[in-house]
Amino acid sequence: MPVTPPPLLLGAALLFWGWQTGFPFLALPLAILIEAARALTWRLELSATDFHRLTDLCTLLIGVSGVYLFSTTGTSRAVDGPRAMTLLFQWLPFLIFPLVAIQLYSTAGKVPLTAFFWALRRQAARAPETRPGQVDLGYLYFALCVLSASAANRRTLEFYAGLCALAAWALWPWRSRRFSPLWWAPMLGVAALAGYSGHVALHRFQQVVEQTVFDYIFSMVRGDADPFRVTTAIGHLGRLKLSERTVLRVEPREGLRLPFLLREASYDVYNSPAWLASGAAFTAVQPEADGETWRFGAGRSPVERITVSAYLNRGRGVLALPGGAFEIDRLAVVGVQKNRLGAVKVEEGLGLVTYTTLFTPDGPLDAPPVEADLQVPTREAPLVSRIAADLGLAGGSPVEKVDIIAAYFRRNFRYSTWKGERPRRESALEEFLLNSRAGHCEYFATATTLLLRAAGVPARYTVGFSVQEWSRLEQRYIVRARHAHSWTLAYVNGVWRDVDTTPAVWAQTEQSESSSLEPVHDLWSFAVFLFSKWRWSEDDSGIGRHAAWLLIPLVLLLVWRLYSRRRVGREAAASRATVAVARPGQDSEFYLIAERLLAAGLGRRADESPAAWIARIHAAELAPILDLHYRYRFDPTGLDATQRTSLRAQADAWLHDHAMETSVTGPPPQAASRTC
Amino acid sequence: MSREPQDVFRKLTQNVETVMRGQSGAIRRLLAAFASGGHVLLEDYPGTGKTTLAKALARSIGGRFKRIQFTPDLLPSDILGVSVFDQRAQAFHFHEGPVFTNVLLADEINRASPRTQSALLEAMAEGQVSVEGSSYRLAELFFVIATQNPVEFRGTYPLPEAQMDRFAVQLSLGYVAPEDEVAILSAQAQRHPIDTLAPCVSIDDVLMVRRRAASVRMSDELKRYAVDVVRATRAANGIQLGASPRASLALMKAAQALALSEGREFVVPEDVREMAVPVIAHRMVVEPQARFAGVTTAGLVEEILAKVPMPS
Repeated sequence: MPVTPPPLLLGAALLFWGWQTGFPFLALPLAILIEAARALTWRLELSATDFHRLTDLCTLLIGVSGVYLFSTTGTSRAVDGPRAMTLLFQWLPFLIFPLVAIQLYSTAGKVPLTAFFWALRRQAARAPETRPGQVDLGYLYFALCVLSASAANRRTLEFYAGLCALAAWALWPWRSRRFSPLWWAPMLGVAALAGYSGHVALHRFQQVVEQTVFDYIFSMVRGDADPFRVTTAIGHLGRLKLSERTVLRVEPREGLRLPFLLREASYDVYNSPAWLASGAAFTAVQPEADGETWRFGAGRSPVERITVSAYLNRGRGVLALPGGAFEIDRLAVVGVQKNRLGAVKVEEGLGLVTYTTLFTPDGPLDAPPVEADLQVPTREAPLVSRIAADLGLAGGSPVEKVDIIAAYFRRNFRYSTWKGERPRRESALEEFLLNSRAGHCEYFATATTLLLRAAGVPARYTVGFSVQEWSRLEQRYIVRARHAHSWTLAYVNGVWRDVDTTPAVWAQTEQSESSSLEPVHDLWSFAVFLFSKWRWSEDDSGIGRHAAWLLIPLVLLLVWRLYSRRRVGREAAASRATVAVARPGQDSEFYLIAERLLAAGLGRRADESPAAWIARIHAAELAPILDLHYRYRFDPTGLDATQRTSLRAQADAWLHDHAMETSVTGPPPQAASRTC
Repeated sequence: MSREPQDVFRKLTQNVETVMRGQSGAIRRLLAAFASGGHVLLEDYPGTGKTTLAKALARSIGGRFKRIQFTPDLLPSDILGVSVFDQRAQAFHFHEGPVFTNVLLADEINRASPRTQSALLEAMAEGQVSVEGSSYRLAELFFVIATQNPVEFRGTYPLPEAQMDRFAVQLSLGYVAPEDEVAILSAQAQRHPIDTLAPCVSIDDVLMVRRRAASVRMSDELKRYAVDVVRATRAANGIQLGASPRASLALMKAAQALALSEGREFVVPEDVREMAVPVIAHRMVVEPQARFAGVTTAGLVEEILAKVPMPS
């Protein structure tokens, strides 16, 4: 049976791979190179060490490609593309090609197993006498090409048709000779059809199962679902403070006033102790032509800009934007959505994004106020109205009201992260406003929002970050997790303005509680940032691109080494083999008989002697022919002219008598053996 | 009296088969080894007819026949001979041991100590004996047929590897078919048939057969096949010691003799194949770990035969 693939099969598989994976122009020369080996007569004389080197090179290629792919596309879904693992799988035929090509162009024609296992190499080094096993990569490479082609996941009928055609091609030499190809081909067609329908049925079945399971689970949980919860999924009220982790990096800019507020989300409904966003469904923002610019509306001068780097969690996240943002540039993500309260989230992006936000005081991101922005919850209404009345907020312009409230908090309140035991009959807000007069930013922001609403100024509760720390290490502003902040958005003179009434000492207070290991953390954090930046290929000078070029000299070196090997002609190698061991009698007619019997399905087993074989198939009349054949083959004196003629005549007679054995619907083996 | 080699083989076979039933394959290989000029080791369980077969062959040849029963207290001088002081001549005279014979039956050879076993080394390899500084030639026809129980049995000393290598062939008889065993019972009801066994061939016949066997033609391709098979034993997994070049030589000679017994003047691949296990297996040493895993040398040779492509 043949162990090397039939002609053109590997080439066809490579072309198929190139067609499916989008490398047709790469596949074509590879296919030509592989198939040319059949036409070319010279061969390279390679030692096991050469194969070892080549395997090592292929391994290196795979490793480097893997690192490159993972660093450029990431393990998560990259921008509109397959995962790194899938890509690497698609590349494999190309990466392993050198080994296969060299196998085909070598005198050995096979690759020693030692090339693939260190243990075998060591064993071979210990006992040079041993001859390690060899493997023909032909069919393996064929299978790899087909599998890699499937990794392109085209899911078209052409793929399946191509796959079937290639499989048929590969199976053709292995078919049973007892049956005609006229039977074989339809049977293969039936198998292909069965495979296809089975696949479709399995797919349908999966859909049905998924739908059934979904319906069942939905029916179980529907009664408990809280539709309100959905709208507040982006809530950051509970964000842990005091963590030193750097979450944002802000590039330095002229005229940046500290602290600078970067908002993540706003909320309009207070339901103590939570702020909720009502009617805050997200709508998709369409990118500009370059795919990296996202515009929410037109901005009026003066336009300011700020560049922020932020990590995305599995490609998703809410962006920190300055108030009044109207455009985001250089944001390479798949989808951006915003809601009417000014929250902008990314649906699918890389692990790290760096984007520039353009903003003006009257940016269009926040929708104009609605009724909800003036609502004070019933529970807090008496208290808030009373304080509003005390502060004299009934008259005056919105600006004056904002100033009065800011001054009220500045004079009478202090910052504290410590929270005493809350008296039972008062709400937390009541306790803050009337008794303790101390709290953290959430108290100040909530109280301010409600007071402004009581005074008739539309207001929203906002969370985000306060930019206030300059990193000498990184030469840019860094924002730590403990810089998370909350403040109020007040609608003053047709514009949403940030109103932050939390005493400015809050930053220092939290700074004082930072860990002594903070510099170490910062250094590590910076290193991670630089790595991430390279990994996500933020700039075009990424090392990954250059790494690929570094491989070229390596490959050239290897090609030169191989080329400088002694090349021998294929015929020369073959004739040398015959010089080593003469094999006379190769033209014996007995071989024709053997072929005829093989075609009839009565072939000799590999480990069977010819005498045992003809005994097994009850072909006793072949014994005299075999005797002559043996004499012709193995007697150094050979046959004389009469015996040679006799051998030919007897064999011809047998072949003539058994001409029908190879007929299309030949008899089964037992019947055939009896006629022998 | 000049005969054709095939006649000699036929007569010997018939003669031995009057005693040994159901062992035609073993007899055929035994005679091939005998005709090739090599020595034979019969290893099998007690009672399978090793000694009977050895005796039958020895008695079938019209030459001198000696038998040594190997025991733990046997000494080298008991085999080779010893110099005895002659009072009258006032000189030492070499007293020949049982090794000076045509056919030597070394029964239960692995019951003697390795020292005694080794006494046969020179005799078997070179056809001479060196005692006390003098060398003594053995007869031109010197054939050792030894028997032994499997080494795992109690009271046995395994033969040294060098000694095993001196045996051209190791054969096992195995248990015969039930009908043959019944026939043995019937044949030995009154007396053992071996008692009446008479020589059927002369020493000259045997020497003629040996000469003719050496001139049987073997093509280079088959020599290469034999060498490939022997070489493969050196690379097989679980093997501590592979077969030596002496094994290749023995395999060629055995194949030649087998071809001659078939009346052919040239060797065919089947000859090499048939003699491969008897010639090669006993010369190999399996690693202890592989042995515990059930690997046998005969099984390994069979595997190699299945792997090495046979010329056809």
